[in-house]
This record gives sequence, structure tokens and C-alpha cells, in this order.
Amino acid sequence: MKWFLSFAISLLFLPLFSQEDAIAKHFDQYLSDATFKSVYVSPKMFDVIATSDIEKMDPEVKALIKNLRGLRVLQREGQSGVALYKEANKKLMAAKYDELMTLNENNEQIRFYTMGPGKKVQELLLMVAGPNRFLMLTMVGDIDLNAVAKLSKNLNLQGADYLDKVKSR
Amino acid sequence: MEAINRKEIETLLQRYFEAETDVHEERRLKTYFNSGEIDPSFEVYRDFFVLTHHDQSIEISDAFERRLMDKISPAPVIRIGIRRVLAIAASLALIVAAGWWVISQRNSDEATQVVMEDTYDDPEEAYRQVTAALALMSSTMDKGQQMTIQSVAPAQELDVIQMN
Repeated sequence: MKWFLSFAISLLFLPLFSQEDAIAKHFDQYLSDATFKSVYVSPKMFDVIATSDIEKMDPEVKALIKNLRGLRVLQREGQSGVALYKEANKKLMAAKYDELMTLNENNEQIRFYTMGPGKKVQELLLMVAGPNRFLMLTMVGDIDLNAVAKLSKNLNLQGADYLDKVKSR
Repeated sequence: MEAINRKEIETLLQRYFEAETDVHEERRLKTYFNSGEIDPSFEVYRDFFVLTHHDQSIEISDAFERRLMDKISPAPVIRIGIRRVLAIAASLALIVAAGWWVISQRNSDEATQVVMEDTYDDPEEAYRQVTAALALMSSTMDKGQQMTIQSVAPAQELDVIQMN
């Protein structure tokens, strides 16, 4: 009976163990939508990256990657992302995500969301919506917001260029 | 007559002890041994057939069956309390529910399996993607600091992204 009880209880909590990002949880219908491009890097792949000897790996990036367990990108181009942005905001607020920062740039709305208390968050989500595109990217793990913020000083990468690199699955 | 009779009995006895006699022959033997005119050489078998005959006449008294039944204890009646029945029903329902849940969960897992598929097989490519994503996040945070921040949630989280 004890065995059965523990079995039943573990079944009950099973879904809680599988940590999912906001996109998989709340926007999964777009992942199978052909008008969207999506990217996923799994926990397993993060393990591989962390243990591989990739040349010129930025030590700060490496330190961050060690604590990451997933990256997902959802992107659509050629259409206004504003309606989607509004819908996503509603969903994320309802899902108790914390708004970290909102800004407007070049006619685009940008917003950061976090999940988890303090400066080390469990999820960091960035959403960009403009008249011609929608972009959402989120990473899960133990994310040090300070470390992420400091990166730009050292990384010689233009974030905007990255958008062109998003490959379709 | 006597000789024929004797020979016949002898044959019957032989068959009898070899278990080859039929009902008629056995009856014949019993009649002979009960007749009182037995050949002295068959005397040793007399008791056997007479006794057998006697045993058959034993009758069971009417009370016997009743007394026998009294000796046999009544078959135990299995009593299952209502609580136990409910408990069994509940655990069965739980097992069925758990099974159904696992199956439905597995189905949904299959659906999300596509969603959970790695985009990159090459760790280096994945690394570039992750780095680019981090760079975008970082530079956007940086911009947010330099631009007018329109709305910022908890104050202590603003400190987090102040980098100077």
C-alpha cells in the first residue's frame, strides 16, 4: 500500500519535473504553424556544448551555458506582430511571469519577462513586436541577470544580426 | 450333479478372484455359499461370500444422515464489510484512473516530442545560436538602460541590469 501511495503521488507530480519554457507551455500552437520559424536547443545539447571544446568559446558565455537548460526561439516575419504581442502579454501576465523591462525602439515594442524570484531567474524571455515581425526567445535554467547584462560589453556580436541567422527547422 | 456343481463353482471362484465374473456369476456364487450345502473344499471361501451378502443388508438409519450433517461444520460464509468493498472499489478506480492518465500523458508526450526536438545536431551551431540569443538579450538590456525605460517592474530588478 505504501508502495502504491508513493507511486500514485509521484505520478501526480510528474508533470512538474519536466521544466518547460513559456513558448512550449503557452505558445505551442505556433510551433507547428508553418508561418513561424522556431529554434530549440535542448538540455542535452546544452550539456554537449558545455563539455565540448568549441574553439574561441567565450568564457562568460560558457559560464552562462553551464546553467542553461533550454533555449527556444519563435519568429515570424512579413506580418505585424502587434496582435500577437498583446495576446502574449496577456498570457504571460496570467502565467505569473514578471515584467522586467519594456522599451520602444524603431517602432518596435520590446519586453523582457522573467520567472523566478531575485536576480537569479529560472526563465528569461524576450519579446519583440513590430509592424513587420514578431520575435520571442526564451531561455530556462539558472540565469544570472547580471551576467547576461554584462555580456554585451565583451561580446562582439550584434544582436540584430542574429535575427537573420535563425534557421527554419 | 454334485461333481458338475463343484466344477462349476471352482471355475466361478477362479474367475471371481481374477475379477472376471459378471453380476450373474457373482450372484450364483453367493446363492451357492448361502445355501448351506457347500462342498467342504470350498469352506474357506464361505465366510467371504456370506459376509459380503450380510454387509449388503446393512441399512443406514434415517438419523444417520442427520447426525453426519451435524458433524460437518457449515461452510464458512465470507463476510466482506461495506468499508472493505468501498476500499477495493476505490483502489480499483484509482488504478484505472492512473492508467488512463498515464496513457493520455504518453499521447500528449508524443505530441510535444516534435516540439522538443533539437533544431541543431551540431553543438557548435547550437553554441552559435545560444551565443547570438544571449547577445541579443544582453544588448537589448543595454539599450533599455540607455533609452527611456517606459515601464519597469520591481525596483530591485532594475538594479540587476545596471551595469556601471
